[in-house]
Amino acid sequence: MRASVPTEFQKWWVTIENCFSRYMAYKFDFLLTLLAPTIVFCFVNYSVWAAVYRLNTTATIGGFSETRMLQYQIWAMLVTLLARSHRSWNLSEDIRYGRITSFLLYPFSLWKYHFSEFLAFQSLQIVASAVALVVLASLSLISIPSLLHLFAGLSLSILVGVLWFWVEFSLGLLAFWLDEVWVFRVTVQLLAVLCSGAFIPLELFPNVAQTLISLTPFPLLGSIPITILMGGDLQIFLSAMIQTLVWTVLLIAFGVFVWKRGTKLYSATGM
Amino acid sequence: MSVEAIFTDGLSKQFTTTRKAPGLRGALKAIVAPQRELRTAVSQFSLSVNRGEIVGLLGPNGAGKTTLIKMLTGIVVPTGGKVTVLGYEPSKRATEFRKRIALVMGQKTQLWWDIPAMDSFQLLRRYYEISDKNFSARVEMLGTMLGVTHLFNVHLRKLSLGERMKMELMACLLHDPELCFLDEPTIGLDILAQKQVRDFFKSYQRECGTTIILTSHYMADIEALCPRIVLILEGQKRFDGHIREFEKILGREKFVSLTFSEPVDRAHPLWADLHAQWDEEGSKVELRIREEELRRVSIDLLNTFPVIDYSTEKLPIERVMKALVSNPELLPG
Repeated sequence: MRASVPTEFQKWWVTIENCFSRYMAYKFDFLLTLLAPTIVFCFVNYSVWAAVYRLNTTATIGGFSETRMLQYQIWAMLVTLLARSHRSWNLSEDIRYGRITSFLLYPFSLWKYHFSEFLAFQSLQIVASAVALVVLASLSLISIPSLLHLFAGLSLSILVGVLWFWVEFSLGLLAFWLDEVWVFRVTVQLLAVLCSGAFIPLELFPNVAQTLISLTPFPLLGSIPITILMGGDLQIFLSAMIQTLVWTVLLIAFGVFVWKRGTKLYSATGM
Repeated sequence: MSVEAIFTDGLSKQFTTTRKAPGLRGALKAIVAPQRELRTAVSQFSLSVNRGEIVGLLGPNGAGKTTLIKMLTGIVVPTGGKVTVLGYEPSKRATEFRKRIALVMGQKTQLWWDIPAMDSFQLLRRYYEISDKNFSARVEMLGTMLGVTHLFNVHLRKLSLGERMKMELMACLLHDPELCFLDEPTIGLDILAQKQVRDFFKSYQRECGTTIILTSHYMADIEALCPRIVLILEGQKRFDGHIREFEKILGREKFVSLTFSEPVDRAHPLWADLHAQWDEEGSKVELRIREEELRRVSIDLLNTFPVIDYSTEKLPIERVMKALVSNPELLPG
């Protein structure tokens, strides 16, 4: 049976299994990784917006009622779980301290290894968000406009997760040139939180800012999937999918370019 | 199939390094006008190694041994010269090439820290496309040779340094590489574990005929395993030949050790030209004496000083190495 499975698939599968084993090695850490976004959401997003509406004299802010805003924030949490949770924290450090050496020797590339790690992580995120969705829907904290909207919004979020992986991976590869990459990465992550509309809906931004942000991939990380999940026009789904694919292809091309140039500079420090 | 496993001609590697003066001022200066300099790690290195050979790369820290290994394995890209390993250009990192070599890094772990070694072996089994039958046979053979079969399912982080090193060796040899690079494989191990690793490689090489390139600061590793030695000093090849020839570079000398019942006069003319190395008290000395003069000089010393212990042996390779590193002009050519 095993022999009929393509060897390349076996390499990916065993790497994913290996990642699961490593996640399970530190059970508390693993549990916290799954629960952290929900905890942060409860303490930050929900509390902040509830307070804003308590202090506000009008019933709506930028067309958002309190109920709608809180629903928006819940969907934002679910989209973030799928689209923007993966972190390639170790990659830049691994390059800096010469720990990618093994992957220049193994007949399995570094990007494949990291992408397998991402797939393992993403599958856990899908489970975590599915559980959260069922709980939140059964408590009537969110309403699902239609199954089609739900499917479109979630599948877009999952695809955007792939785009985000390449953002993180490419930024990590900059460690071939830069001693410290974390400043870059934190900046991009803050920009992503702000410009994706995951915390403040983009509709509340000035028009100029909205136009500028629409030229970047940031709305794909939050605003667009949230709009679909809240019952927005499904026509944006197709264009969002195409945009995601185009940005992903561009980032892959950038990643490949950076990898080829970077490995020529690599000195395998510390070996 | 070519008999040559490694061929290099004029192989060179230069690195650009940045210098930074100490303190805040230095840090600011490094941002505005970084002081870059080109450092040559390996220069014009030509080498030919046949299949099945075991070659020891010797040299002090920073001599260029590890950089040479990095170039031969494709980890770093050379800046000049030619190199082919098993018929491949290493820096192209062809998958087939990667399947045929292995690198053991004594200072770096290649296994996954958080899982048992067997989980890592299973991963490598897929990466290297090892058949189920071969995998079981190799795990059994290597595990038995290294005496670690009972530790396969223990988390790597819970193993001792010696046990971890043995697992590293297993991981590197699972795919039956034709060429194996060992970079300080016994570093940090206790004497017993060092000997076990040496004995393992001796019998492994005898059984499998693998070509081995070894770097080690422990001369015992080199003496036990390598009939051929290549000495690197400041990135250049300074000696390439049989270990017996290497031992004779300083001439036919004997290493003599004397212990006295009390401290003796170090300024005595008898000590001249004997390369005396004294202990702090002056009651013990190590000497290098030309073979033809050994009898006469020994009699003189025994008659002149209160000797309570006397021993002689051929000059240890460690001493030859030490002498050559501090006096490279002694090297032929």
